Amino acid sequence: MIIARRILFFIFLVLYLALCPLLILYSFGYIFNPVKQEMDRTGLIYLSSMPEGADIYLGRSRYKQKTPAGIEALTPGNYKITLRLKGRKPWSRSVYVDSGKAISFKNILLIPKTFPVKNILAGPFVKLTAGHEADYLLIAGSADLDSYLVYDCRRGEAAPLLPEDSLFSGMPVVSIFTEESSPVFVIYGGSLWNRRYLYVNLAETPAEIVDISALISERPVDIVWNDSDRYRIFALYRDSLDIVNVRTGALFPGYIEGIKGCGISHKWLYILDEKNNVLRQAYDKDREELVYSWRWDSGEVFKMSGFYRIRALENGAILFLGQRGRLLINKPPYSLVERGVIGLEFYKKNQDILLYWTKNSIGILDFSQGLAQRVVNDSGTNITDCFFVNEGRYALFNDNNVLRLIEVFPGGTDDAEQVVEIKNNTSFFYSEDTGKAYYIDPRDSGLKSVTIVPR
Amino acid sequence: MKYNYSRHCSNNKDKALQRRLEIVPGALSWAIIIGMSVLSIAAPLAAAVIMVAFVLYWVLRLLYMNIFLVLSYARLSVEKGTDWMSRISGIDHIESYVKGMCVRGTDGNLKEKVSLGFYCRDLSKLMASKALPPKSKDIYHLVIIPVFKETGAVVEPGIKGIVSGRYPSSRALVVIALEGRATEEIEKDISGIKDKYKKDFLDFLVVRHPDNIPGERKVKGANTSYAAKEAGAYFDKKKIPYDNVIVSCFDADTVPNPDYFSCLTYRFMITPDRTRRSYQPIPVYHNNIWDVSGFARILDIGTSFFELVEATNPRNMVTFSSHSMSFRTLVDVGFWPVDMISDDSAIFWKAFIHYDGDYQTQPIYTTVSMDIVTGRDIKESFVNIYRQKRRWAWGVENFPIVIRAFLRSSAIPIYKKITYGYRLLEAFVSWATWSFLLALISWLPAFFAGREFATSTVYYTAPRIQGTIFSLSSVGLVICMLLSILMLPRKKTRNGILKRIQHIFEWLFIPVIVLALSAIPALDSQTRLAFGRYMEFWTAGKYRKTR
Repeated sequence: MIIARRILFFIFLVLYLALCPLLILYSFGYIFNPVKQEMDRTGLIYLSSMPEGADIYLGRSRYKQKTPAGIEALTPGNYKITLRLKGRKPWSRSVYVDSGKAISFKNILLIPKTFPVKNILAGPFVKLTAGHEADYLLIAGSADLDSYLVYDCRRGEAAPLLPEDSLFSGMPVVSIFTEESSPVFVIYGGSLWNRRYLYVNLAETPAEIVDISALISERPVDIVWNDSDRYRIFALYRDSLDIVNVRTGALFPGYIEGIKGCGISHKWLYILDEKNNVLRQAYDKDREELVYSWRWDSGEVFKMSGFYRIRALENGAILFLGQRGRLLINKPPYSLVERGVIGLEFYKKNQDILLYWTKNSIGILDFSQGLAQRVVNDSGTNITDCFFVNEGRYALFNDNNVLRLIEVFPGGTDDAEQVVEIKNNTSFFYSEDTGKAYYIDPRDSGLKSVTIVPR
Repeated sequence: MKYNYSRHCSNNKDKALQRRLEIVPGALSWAIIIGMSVLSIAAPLAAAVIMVAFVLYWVLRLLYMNIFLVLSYARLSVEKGTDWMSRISGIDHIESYVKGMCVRGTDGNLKEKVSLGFYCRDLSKLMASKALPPKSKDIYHLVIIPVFKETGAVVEPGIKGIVSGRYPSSRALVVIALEGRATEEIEKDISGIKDKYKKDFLDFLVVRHPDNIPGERKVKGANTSYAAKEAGAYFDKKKIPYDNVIVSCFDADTVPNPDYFSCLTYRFMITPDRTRRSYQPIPVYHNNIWDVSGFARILDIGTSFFELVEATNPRNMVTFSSHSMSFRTLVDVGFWPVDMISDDSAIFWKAFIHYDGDYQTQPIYTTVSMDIVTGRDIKESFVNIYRQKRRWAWGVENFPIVIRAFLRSSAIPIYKKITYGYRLLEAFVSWATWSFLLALISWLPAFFAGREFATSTVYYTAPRIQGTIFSLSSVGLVICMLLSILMLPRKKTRNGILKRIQHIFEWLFIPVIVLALSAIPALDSQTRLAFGRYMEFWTAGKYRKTR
């Protein structure tokens, strides 16, 4: 046994000494070229698609594997990659493969030849409201609150918002405040002489509806809250903010005064004070930190755009979105867009990338390598809303009542694919969980969904 | 070499050296785990390459060990059913036997032919050595069973096993080493067992070990050493030479195979350097195997497999759990350490140092069955198993003591110092680190990949290579599954087939089980030793289901 052990030990030792360097060299892209009788350093292309199982073509040759797959041992040079899947439009790119380098195309969305549409609720509906990354839609048959239905995207169920004998029946709705990832809506409406603010929490069954009109003194610039503390809402005015505790009915008027901007990020209240300092406070004021002081021409910076919504990112960047759509950042080049920004969309898993849009264009801010700003589409006519799709690789937007899909990742095509038409003056909602966009159809005014990313 | 095998040193220089060496295994294990984690974040490319090299090393070693696991199991199967008593009688008449049986051969099946082949080879070696053993009628056995909290229900099956074994129990002196702290109830249980079985043995002694003897710690070795000294007095009185006595130190729950003492006697007689050997059976954990949780079962079957693999390499083997040795050797080396928890392995190192490296462990291809540690519920089982494995891993306490001896001794050959020292350290460090590396850290480079690494070929190929290597290791897993089924006790159990099928699937959880109940306890032990937080002996919880 001892001799057998020794012999085997040496066999395994030789095996290891031979295999280990070969595997390491292979992982670095080295392969033996039998023609040249020498080692070549190669590169690879990694491809994964939604849905999976697409044929991969390298030039005209079909690769043996289907997506997801890594095409290894590619000698340096230009390659044309095409993905083909039945019922989907082909996807194609030309890439240069460098030695020892990998080029990755992850979760390529293979666009269907026709997007599958599903009827959800028969209309007619006139309005659709939802917070980004929320699970609930509010859909309205008319301006009256009685006509509002709540649609649960996860369960695929709809129910009237108000109970039959509600005090708020017949209340006309003027506007609805929403927050990201929150099942809470604040509905503003009522007659001219009797304006009301209703706090609606859809996480409760039946929906919890609280009249908070007495707690809101005048019409605020905005109403914001953090979903982890959803009963505490902040009413933002031009130079102050009130705190309202919905559960206890407590109001803290002028809780902070002398402010030019405000926002909630990561359970902190961010304040832009009159001296252009950015402070962050715990909600109960027990901690306050100065996080940034504007130096760059700061006297002029905040004059133009009235109240600023503040958004702090995990990477330390702070964004300021003014009422006239001026977008600023606390690092060079400070001013990102002079005017016209309608909204911002963050990709939830990766705050290194965010999307902003104006009436005519869609842009990307990429913080992964310093700060890179690029416009991915500037041919819009009336862009009103925009969502990240498929882990931040695409954007779905409403341009002049047409939903369009565009690849926003570097190297993507500039052409936006038309998805569906939507009803005039309505918004849409995209759920990354279901991969579907929800909208009101222009023909029958019913609620429909269109599958963008197959799940 | 005369050496005080203890962590307690007589001079400050030794104390300082001991303390530094105590830190080495833990520091090395933590350095590997933290170092690789940091490297995965700081230089994921380098970490990925190192992990490829490591995973390949691991899988080759796994396959290598699997080959010997199969061979060792085959040897165990071949020796199963061997008539050891007739072979013992053959050694008593060695010359006529060699000329007769070995020349003539056997008409039996292949197993018998192979077994006879091993036997005749051993006989030839014995004859060539001219170190003939005492006649079998002059050989006696001393069986020491330490008892502290174990009830009669746990101890009695082992006693019964000795009585019903093939070797005449009348040649065995059984000594129950009862801890002074044991309760009256336990003492009463033991007394009942003594009354019941005394007539079956040469004698049956119950030796109560007084508490708080100066220089001793509350460890099993103190109890068994005290009992062994009492047994020595008994042999002196009966004028039985120590050279003719084989001492077996069992756990309270050890049930020897019916062939154990005949096989042991045979191996003792046929080994030329019989007093320079410890005799190590294969430990199996069949006493309560179907009464315990799946994770406990898998872990202890893994221990049996490890010992089977070790049995193929006696030169590196260290004694573990229940084992036997010459009583002469035990007396010469000064009995088991009285201040160490890992007395089972410490006695090997003590003898190795005492005989200047001329000592080794001799595997014997028979089994002793023990209880798997368990608890009244799954949580208690988990905690008890964790504590038992931590106690086993406390065997790392031998490292500083052995290395100090190696540094001091000029008589132990240098290659033995290097190989044994390296293997001792490597065994404990790999025990504590490999599971972390394989289950967790190997995936970190991809997780923490920055842009630079994420655009390199290594980012994509390294995980794929690792994945392929891991899938290759499933060959080893299948071998373990099959062998574990073959090794399970044949005794019929309720829903036996279902339990066996379930057992096969339990193997799929091995990475998690080994990490939680083997690597972490080992790291725990090494960290305690490094910080000088010395462990006390803890008696494992062993419960039997009442049927």
